[in-house]
Amino acid sequence: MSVFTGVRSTGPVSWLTTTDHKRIGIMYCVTAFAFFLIGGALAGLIRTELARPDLQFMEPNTYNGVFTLHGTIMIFLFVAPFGAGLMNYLVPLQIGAPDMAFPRLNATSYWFFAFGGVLVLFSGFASQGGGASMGWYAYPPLSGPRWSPGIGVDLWIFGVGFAAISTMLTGINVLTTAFLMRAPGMTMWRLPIFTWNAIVTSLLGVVAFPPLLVAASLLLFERRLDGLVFDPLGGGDPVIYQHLFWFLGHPEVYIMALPFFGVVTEIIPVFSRKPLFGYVGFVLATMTIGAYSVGVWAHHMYTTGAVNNPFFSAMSFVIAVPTGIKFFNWIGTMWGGRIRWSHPAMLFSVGFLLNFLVGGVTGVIVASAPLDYHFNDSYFLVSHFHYTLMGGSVFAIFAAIYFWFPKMTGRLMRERLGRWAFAFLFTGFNLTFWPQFVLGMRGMPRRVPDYPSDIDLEIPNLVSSFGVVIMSIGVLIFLWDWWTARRSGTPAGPDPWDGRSLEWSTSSPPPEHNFTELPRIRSVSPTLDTKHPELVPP
Amino acid sequence: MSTWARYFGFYAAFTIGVGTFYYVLTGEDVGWIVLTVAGLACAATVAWAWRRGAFRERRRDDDPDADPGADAGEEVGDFPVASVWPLVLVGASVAIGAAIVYGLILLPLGVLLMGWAILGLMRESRD
Repeated sequence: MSVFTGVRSTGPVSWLTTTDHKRIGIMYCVTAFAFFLIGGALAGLIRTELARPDLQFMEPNTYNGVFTLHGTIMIFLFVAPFGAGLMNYLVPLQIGAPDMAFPRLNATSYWFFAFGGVLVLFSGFASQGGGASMGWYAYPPLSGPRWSPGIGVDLWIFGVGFAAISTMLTGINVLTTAFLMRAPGMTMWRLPIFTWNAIVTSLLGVVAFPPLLVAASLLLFERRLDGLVFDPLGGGDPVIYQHLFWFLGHPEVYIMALPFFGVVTEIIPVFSRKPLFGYVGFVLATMTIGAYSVGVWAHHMYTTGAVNNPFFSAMSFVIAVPTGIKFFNWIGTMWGGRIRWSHPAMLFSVGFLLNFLVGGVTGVIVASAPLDYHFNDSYFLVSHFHYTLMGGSVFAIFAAIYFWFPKMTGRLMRERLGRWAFAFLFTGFNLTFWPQFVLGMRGMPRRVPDYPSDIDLEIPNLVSSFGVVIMSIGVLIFLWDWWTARRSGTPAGPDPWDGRSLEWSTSSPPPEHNFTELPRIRSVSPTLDTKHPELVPP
Repeated sequence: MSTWARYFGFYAAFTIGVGTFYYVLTGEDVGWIVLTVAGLACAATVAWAWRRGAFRERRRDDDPDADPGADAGEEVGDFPVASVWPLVLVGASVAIGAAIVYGLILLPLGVLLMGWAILGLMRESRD
């Protein structure tokens, strides 16, 4: 029996002070999506500048600031926090719990993220002596006091530090909730796949973010207290920063990917009308990815000459194996199913599979140290990670919104508009980023606002910039659909997709305590078992 | 409870094992330390679970035959619907951060707010 204290109201103050995991989850998602729109607008500025050779409207240092903000926002303020929002909303519902284990800590996590985001924005736009323009990983000595004397970097350190604290607190909360607050009968091997992915993501957050906080604190010590840690002119070692940063950085890639592996693994069985192919294999593959991801950090440092390239190359090749297993799970689930292709959630999930496959395969290419020497700091790398994070995780974010929007609001988004949004986004995304592979192979370096007037570079850059226009139309269609469906969408009912996991057995939106009655849990699909008792395993 | 404790144990063994191998191979300190500390943190959690009897007793959520209707009723505690203190706590953290960036004149405000938020959280959790 649980007890809820306090009186809930519906005004803005009730949202500012809420500790309800569902409201906090929605606040995370909405705030993160707002940051996505800001980061996307910055990307539009970058592509406008690069549409033609020569400088168009940005000075080089302004360009540096814009791509620094773009990267920081998308990495720390959009993809990972959106995953945190989904975990907040879904984990208690999927395991049959009334709330997260530590509701006040949960609210604290959100506010650290939101205030951290504001500080990051200030770091670029409103800084005395110059904004942060050192790239999203803030390598010293460029980020040190000698080369970045303005307060922009200091604000960036606090903003990213607050976002890191938020992720760690969310991780502790999700792990405690998933381990200790499951409903009777919800054994660990009956957990929905999204919750399993949330567990591994949370463990990575708790393990990987402290080194970032250490690196950021040391950088602040160097900048504000005249410390000497990283600056080689003072006897420091900048490679130490790179080790600490990338010990976060590569697990962070999986923190941004694993929740969305979970999302598409929830969606594909529902719209294929089949159970997940290889549940245990999928969970073990997720655990293996979580373990290996902390052992591959220095593949971002091959060209420093200061790390053991064969070790990190071997580890990076191995991590592709469990990721490949997941592709077998997804394809095996769809194989022979009665697939409902028309739904946007399924379309975005399949878009995720195709884009992430390209991102994964090119990841294996750059995991090879000799090839990485060739591609390092070129547009090939830019395209590779956008295929994994934008084409992969962001497509899964759109899939998640189309799938769980009815649960959150009680209303359906319009499928026809969703299909148009998918068509524009998928086409625009590939028009934007496929030419960047070509640019990288032709030797165009990243982080430059200008390039030689050369037909080999001009046409791919123009096509890439045109792709952003197409993608923007897709985002606008999506926003219109989302905005209008909130108030005038068709009522959804508790289970509009014939769902499997526990969240579909409660009302849409769920009541304050999530469930008025829990079904018996006999398998990984308790809601489906209730509707089809003949399918329950003996 | 034992499943997740075993998972943490696997994670601890993996990170400490890889960290040791990495150190023997490269002699590099930073990577070895962060891997080992990560492993030790997970090992400490396993030790806590072991002390709590995770490997001896089975909880109801780990019982595959448990029935939520029949087995419910366990007290899981109070869940607050609203609290202003998380917002105040983070606001205080921003003020302290701003003091470091803009000037120490903001520090007393940040410390005062922080103390107020901590006291508020303590009082609220007792209610």
